[in-house]
Amino acid sequence: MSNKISRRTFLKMANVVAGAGALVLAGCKPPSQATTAPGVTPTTPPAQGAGAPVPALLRSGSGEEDYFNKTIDLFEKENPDIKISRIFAPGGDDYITKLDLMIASGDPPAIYAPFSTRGYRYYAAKGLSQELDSFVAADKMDLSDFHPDGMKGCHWQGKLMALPLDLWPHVIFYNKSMFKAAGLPDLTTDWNDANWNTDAYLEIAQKLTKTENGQTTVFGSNYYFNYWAAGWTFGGDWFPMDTYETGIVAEFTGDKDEKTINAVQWDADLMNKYKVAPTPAQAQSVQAGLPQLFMSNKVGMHMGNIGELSTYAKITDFEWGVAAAPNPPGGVKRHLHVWIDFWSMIKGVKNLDGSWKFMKFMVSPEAQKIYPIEFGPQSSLLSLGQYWLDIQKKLMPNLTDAELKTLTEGPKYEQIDLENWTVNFSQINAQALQPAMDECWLGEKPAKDIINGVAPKIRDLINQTKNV
Amino acid sequence: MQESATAQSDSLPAPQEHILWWKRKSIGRRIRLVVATILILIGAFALMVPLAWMISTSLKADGEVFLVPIRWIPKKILWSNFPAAITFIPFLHYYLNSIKVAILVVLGAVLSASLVAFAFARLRVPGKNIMFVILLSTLMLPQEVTLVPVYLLFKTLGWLDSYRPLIVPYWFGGSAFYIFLLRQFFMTLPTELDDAAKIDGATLFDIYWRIVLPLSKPALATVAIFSFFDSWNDFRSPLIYLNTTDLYTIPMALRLYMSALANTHWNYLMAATLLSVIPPLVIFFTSQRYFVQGAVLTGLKG
Amino acid sequence: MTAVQNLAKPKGIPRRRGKLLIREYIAFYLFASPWLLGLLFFVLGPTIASLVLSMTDYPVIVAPKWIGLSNFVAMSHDDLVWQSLKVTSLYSLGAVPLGLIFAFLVALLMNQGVRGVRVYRTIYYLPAVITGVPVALVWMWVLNPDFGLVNNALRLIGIVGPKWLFSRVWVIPAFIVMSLWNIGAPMVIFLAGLQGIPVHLYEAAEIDGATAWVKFWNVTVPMMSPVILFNLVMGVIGSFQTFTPAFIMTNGGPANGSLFYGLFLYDNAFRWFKMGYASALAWLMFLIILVMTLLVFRLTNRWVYYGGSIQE
Repeated sequence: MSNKISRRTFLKMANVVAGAGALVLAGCKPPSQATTAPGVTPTTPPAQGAGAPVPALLRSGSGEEDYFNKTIDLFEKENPDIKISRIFAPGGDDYITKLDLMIASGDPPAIYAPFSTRGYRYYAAKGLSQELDSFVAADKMDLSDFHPDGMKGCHWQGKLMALPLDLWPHVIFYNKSMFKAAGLPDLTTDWNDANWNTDAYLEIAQKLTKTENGQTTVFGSNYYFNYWAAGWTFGGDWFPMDTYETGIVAEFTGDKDEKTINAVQWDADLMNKYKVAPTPAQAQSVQAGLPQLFMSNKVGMHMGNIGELSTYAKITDFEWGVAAAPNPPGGVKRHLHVWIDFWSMIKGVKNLDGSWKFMKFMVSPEAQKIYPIEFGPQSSLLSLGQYWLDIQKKLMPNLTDAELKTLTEGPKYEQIDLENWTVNFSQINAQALQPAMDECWLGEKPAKDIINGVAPKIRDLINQTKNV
Repeated sequence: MQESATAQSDSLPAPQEHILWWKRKSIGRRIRLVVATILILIGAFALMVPLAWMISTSLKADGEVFLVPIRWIPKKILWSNFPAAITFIPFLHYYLNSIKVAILVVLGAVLSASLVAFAFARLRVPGKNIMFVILLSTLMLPQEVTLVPVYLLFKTLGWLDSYRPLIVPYWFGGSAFYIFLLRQFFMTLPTELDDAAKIDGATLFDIYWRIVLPLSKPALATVAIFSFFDSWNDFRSPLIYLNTTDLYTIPMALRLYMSALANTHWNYLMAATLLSVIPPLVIFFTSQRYFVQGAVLTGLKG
Repeated sequence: MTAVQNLAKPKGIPRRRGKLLIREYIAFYLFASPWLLGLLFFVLGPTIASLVLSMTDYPVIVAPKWIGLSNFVAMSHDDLVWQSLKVTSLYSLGAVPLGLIFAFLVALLMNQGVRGVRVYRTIYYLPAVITGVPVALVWMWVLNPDFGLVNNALRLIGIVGPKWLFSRVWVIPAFIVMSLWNIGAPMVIFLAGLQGIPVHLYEAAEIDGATAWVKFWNVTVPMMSPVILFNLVMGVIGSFQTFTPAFIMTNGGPANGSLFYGLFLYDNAFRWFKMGYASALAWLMFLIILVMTLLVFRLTNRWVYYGGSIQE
């Protein structure tokens, strides 16, 4: 008849809970050395803050962290009074999530490099970037060795806010064995070869394409680009050129640019009209960017980036090589996609001097020889071009010197990157431009109509996002 | 009408019953059994395909992984991928981390969720319905938007870069999912059991501990399984709360196999993933014995 | 609101009064204290915060700015919101009933006394364990319009298969079929529920001459009704929050054809860190799910049977 919880029972329960609680707390590692006080919003920095550790948020994955660790160890040896606290995060969205949360909590990393669809300019636009002009001037640092395209992206509203750390050009990878079998000569490695243009590309692709029972078994070309860079192939662009300077997309001109529309149409035609390239469906373009068709000997030519070199090095079934990308028809200057990443500093961190020294070191030849060169891509320094070449010669014995030069020369002829370099392109792309591109590849409507159709939405998004 | 008074330790009813039952059944019944087996087999076969792909991939050389069409049997079977995968990064260390965290999570979830579920199932209080709605609504708000406030909360508590954010919330009832599940189960247990116990002078805690819990083994096992899996596969929390690589758990560790250079070692990744799938499967398999038929009726008849 | 009142009323517990009642109230709070404390510490604050945030412009890295109901107004004009609602509703309409039926059927099959059932159960639970990338990759192969198994099989009988994940029309049906993959979890719960049905109920029914069909509808289903309700509610809640498959496989494409609400919310929260807008989206989803759940409780109130009382 009792409903009671006896005192004994209650104590029993309380003990269980308390004991469990103790277990839980005991099972957890004590928090690591706290570096900064919680809840501090970045304002003007204290005078020196010397001695405070410099937190750096770095990308990790498949051994990349080892190269970072190597360079940082070197730095700490040469600068025993500066300690770098290394925080790793996987690349892409996850990196951005971690970075933003750290900033929001008042404990940001001092140095970071996003490597993703969002660049430092996004943070600069919100007033979170530390200007570097004063440091450069104080150290009398020579910036001329940096790749000019890289330097283009380092300024925000006239002030230097970042330093470039790598270079990822795009080139054509092609199946030499397939070319030989079809009696075709090797492709040119000369970016300025006027005879190598998109028309020639199409011709070769048509010669290489094979069908059987109505199904294509070999594609002359992989899809050229399946995203906004497709608009660049003929030398046009979606936005006015000053967008890359200002970092803000403020005006949409793609629907009025014949070159852009024709380039997208050409790309779509490769898939649907001439059927020399697989649609993204056929190519199974998985998020991870797996280059299976090329490696499976099913594609003659493939537009890829420098990071794919180490993957293709494993090919044993056929011979392959590297070539320059075709020129736009009519001798117009081409745009091609080159990825450049930047080191940047958050404003108001404790150890400004230490952070600057660290950044300076990471972009120096000494550090760049390890990261990014040993890791794979080219460095942002012109003087290290030959060094990269020499390393690649050993790793890719099948590539000729001329082919390797294609890679180092490539950035001269390439455009830069819209996502990484602007504050608002990411959203405009995801919500309007990429769906429009997807529709173009379906081949049901001409690109012109699709692009004109999406233009109002793009303009709408621009208006929503351009006031940063 | 007698039935065996003791719970069985296998998934079938008592041997004599089973045989009697089978013999009593018509040919039709037996045919149904065979059909059931076949259907299950078909489904099982289909479900094994990803597993088969993972195993196949884990034994391939790098260049073979994504050839089209799929090569199910690798040209050369590389058993060496497994030791290579676990030395590529200190995988075993992260494995142990995951186990540590998961055990504490399961304990917390089962204990606290069952306490709370008992309250909702057996005790009356004004406003209980409102509280139940609140309980359910905590499941309906997507985690993304409470992420930042929760992160700031943990930061203020000083719990960043530790396992506390990953474990402690499970000790406070865990997810409403577990509480709701257990509540449904507890409510299927006859209240006559409670009344009988109370007449014998049992306290509420006794009823909870000695009657309700033992009779709910399938449900408790279910909560244990689910909470283990939730913790084992949780990627979001380790990503945002852990800074030191040393503390990483398996989901983060698996990310370390992925490369920005498009040369991810998929074979190592699959090998590591296969290894990480083993504890959950073992736990699931061994907890099957708690899925016992007819346990409810013990003690009522007579 | 009768739906709320009916929610948690078990039958057959005699009413008590007075001191005992107070004791029972205290007991309730003691037993429920872990959840109540957790609510206070970990849930209430952040939830209220997110409600406030839904009325701000909050890019996370700088302080939020109050904008009142602008987010909600913007949502009503945003056709991506409507698109994602459409996608998610269509998906749920297909996936929830289908998933429930299949999970129940499989659980029943498993419970027939088939040999080696432990192994089979584990296999069926496998997809819940092997999450993410491997499953997504395999599905993408199976559904590949040109090389995939499904279309190849269809070709054998003369049908040209659709473009599945690359077709605006077929992408949602594809996801619905793929959702059947994940019946492992509700199946396990149904299994656990089936164990709780007293065996002698079946025997009593048999003695009265009941066929399998009759037994199913008069014993199994009523005794399982609390569990069915659970899986139904969780199914509704879960399907509205679907996100991972679309994230991995189609990223909302083609042309927003698989833009699940959960994915759209994720994009706003994590890709563009428009936390204010994302919070507003989240609260809309919360309201929708809440209404649906209460509807489910209300509509099913009649046939859910609690108490385990033996007398009919």
